[in-house]
Amino acid sequence: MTNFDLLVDGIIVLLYLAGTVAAGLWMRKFVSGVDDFLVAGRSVNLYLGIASLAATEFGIATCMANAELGFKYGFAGITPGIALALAMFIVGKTGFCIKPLRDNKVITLPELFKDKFGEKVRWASGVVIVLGGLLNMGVFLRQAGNFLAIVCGFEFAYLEIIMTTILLGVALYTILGGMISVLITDYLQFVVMSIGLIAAVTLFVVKFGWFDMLLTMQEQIGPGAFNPFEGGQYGWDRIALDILLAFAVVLTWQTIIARVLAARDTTTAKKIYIGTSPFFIVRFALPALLGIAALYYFGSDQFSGSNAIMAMPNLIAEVLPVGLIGILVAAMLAADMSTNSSYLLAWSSVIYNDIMKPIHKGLWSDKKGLLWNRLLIGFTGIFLLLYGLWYPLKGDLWVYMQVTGTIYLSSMSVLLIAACYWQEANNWGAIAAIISGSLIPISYLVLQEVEATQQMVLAIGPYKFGIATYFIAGICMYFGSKMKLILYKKI
Amino acid sequence: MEYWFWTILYVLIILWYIIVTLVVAIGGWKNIKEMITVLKNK
Repeated sequence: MTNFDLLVDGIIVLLYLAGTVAAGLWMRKFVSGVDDFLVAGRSVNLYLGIASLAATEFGIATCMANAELGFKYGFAGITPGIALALAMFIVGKTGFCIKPLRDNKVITLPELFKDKFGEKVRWASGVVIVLGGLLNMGVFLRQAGNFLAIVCGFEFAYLEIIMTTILLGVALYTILGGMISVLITDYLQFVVMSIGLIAAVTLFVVKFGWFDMLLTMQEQIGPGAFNPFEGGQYGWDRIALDILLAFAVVLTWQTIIARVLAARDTTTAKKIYIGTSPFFIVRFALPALLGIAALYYFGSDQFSGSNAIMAMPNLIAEVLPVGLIGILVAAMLAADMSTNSSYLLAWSSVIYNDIMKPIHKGLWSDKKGLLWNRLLIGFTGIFLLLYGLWYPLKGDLWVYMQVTGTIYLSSMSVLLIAACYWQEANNWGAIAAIISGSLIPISYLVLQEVEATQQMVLAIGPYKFGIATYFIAGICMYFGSKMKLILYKKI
Repeated sequence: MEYWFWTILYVLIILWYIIVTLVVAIGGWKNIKEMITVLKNK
């Protein structure tokens, strides 16, 4: 059952979609080379940088994942957002790693690693970044399709068509306008998304009553809903992984780093980080509140286990009135399109700039470079569509995103810190960190699918796997680098 | 006590979000015009 009205809400959504795609397409005329396409000619100023970064890092999948955290853990589900905000503020204030990164005027992280660790490490870094990034993004489309099917009342049989349509719209303006189109559409999406989210949250609080929702949370989840350290639902290992992941994301996640690299200068890049940091609490706090509202409305039994993720879209479909539901769907589409466009651009930029470097050697003309970048965005889109269709998601969506992100976050954060601040770091340590950092999370994903190992993997849990990956990658970097120094001294 | 902590936190978060949305909407529009000028003059 849904309140979505095809005439009123449908027109709101269509108007928004047409406006965004038109704005994105209009910007394509300003693209004159690969630099404009990938980093908008490094001309991004503070407010546009904040709008773009905030819009990129908030999509339908994120909203559903964070609402699921709120539904299951209450306010404790906001912990990753608090960790991310603190990490972003600290890195922005100190310029830790991002200052040398921006000062080097590179387009991607692996490009920075080339000078310190050599071409092979650059290539290997490109491969793990793309692997982790694509696996991570692989579930975005299905979640967006699920959300739209429930809220708009479409049959699930049309899921593939909805997913393909969303992707085609985004790919169209990203392929033609690159980062310049992404920035303009991000700006529009930030504004629409903010209005939709604030309106929806306010309505639920007024309708259900703030203290009534808190009381329900207390009854259904217990004291752990208010304090992640209490009750044992959230747990220390999960909090530790949230903190490690937050710093790694802020330092190395390509879509975030792309804004540092596109910033006018280092000072602007630092200010963008400081200015965006509180948004990372918003990114968790508001969807979590939608999840808590769903808990109040449905109770915990109707959407238990892996079904919990469906509670928030069902709440929106049943409770929001005509008109507001259209604004919220437009807001969610806005959030999703900005995320998809930035992610498509980010991963294809790494494929072109780093993985394909041995082929083009940086000698291709701007025209040929642009063509290849556009083709890569198209191929990436097709991969995402196919992956999104067949991958069966198990457990929390946020946990899946943490595990797949760790494939590259663990080793890339270790490599970045070593490249910037440890003189003795070398390619042996870098390769050892990359191999260990990617093998452990991939093993987790594979072992949880194999029947014989499923129980063992579940007993250890994804958080301990994640924490171990970061530490082992760091240890491998240290001993690998030291080993090379010792062996070469002997020779 | 925890009820009040979260209540105040949420009020602050929503107020901050409204203010930032307004500031970024106005400032971002100016930035877009500046960026287009820079790109046009290249």
